[in-house]
Amino acid sequence: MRDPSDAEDIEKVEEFLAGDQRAFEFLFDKYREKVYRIAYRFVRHKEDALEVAQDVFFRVAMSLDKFKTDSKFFTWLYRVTVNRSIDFTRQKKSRPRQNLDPEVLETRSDAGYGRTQERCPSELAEGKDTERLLASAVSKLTEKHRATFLLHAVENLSYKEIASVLDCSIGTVMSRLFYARKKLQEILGYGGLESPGRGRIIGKTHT
Amino acid sequence: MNANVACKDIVWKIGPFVDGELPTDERAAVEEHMVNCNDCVQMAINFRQLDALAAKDSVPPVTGEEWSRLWQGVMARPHEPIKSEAISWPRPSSFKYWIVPSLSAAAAALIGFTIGSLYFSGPGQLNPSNRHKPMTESGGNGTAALPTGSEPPVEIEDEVFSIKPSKPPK
Repeated sequence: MRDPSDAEDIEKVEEFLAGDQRAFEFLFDKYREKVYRIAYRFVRHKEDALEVAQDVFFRVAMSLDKFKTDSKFFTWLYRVTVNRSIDFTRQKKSRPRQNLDPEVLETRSDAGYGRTQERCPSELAEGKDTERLLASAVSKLTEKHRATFLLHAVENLSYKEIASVLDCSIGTVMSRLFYARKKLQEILGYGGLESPGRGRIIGKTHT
Repeated sequence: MNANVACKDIVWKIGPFVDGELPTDERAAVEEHMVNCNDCVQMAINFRQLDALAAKDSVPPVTGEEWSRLWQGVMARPHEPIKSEAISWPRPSSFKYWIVPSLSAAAAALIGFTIGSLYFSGPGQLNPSNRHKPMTESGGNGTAALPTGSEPPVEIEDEVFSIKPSKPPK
């Protein structure tokens, strides 16, 4: 049985395709925050995230006729968002900003900070710069791992939903999530997670 | 039992266990293992705290005016055809686009040459009259042995394993 929220989305999609622009405005109001939030976590800049969000909604409006109503609208919307965010990040890398934000510069100068000490996440949480450290660590993940981790940890999607958004299997989601978490722990400088079968599983147990 | 061996089988399930994504019948095995394994318990705690940290990451607020500007921007853009929205993951920078057709052509030529030389070299393997004869004169019985040491390829960064992995990928 379809979730009431999904049924409402499909109804609005059909109304929009029938020519009712207000139906799309409803979908925009419902999902704009989520789209912006996902985009921000990829691009780490408010104006850029808004630009991505605008592009996402434009593309969705233009291609809603291709949307298959037997699937969930939000997973399709999230897919477009992840796709646009990744494209934006790639383009931005190829032509970096002239005026870097102080926050970005600060994050870069902090990049090696976590490597010198071993800390557990709860110790990190006590620091003032937790957000910046974590954002910096997440930005070092591969695109696949970053997308999987963000959709899981921040957007709280289930494995099945993530698989649907990223168009992969649940096993792939499990695998990417494991490696993403392992990599984040390495970058943040706590534990000593190693892959199974290569000896030690966890380096240091924090007491 | 060696604790590390047990950890090797359990470690892949810790994430799904913490996330509530592990089937009930497998949860029991993980819980049982964790009773005597501080390392795996610590990993579970770390995973959970990492998620909690990520969820705390704040996003700059957007004003009503900014939203309305964004909406107007969406509506004002001229219509244009949109391609499908399949996610295009990056290829390695070293990837050469000419290499696939070149290798395919080389492989086809090699296969063709091998088949041709087998067929035209007298009483060969593909001669229908020899089909059920021993493959070699030195005691072969006609059954092809699997090549030794072959294992399915594993993509380290992105391998797929089922919800019930018997062994983690190497």
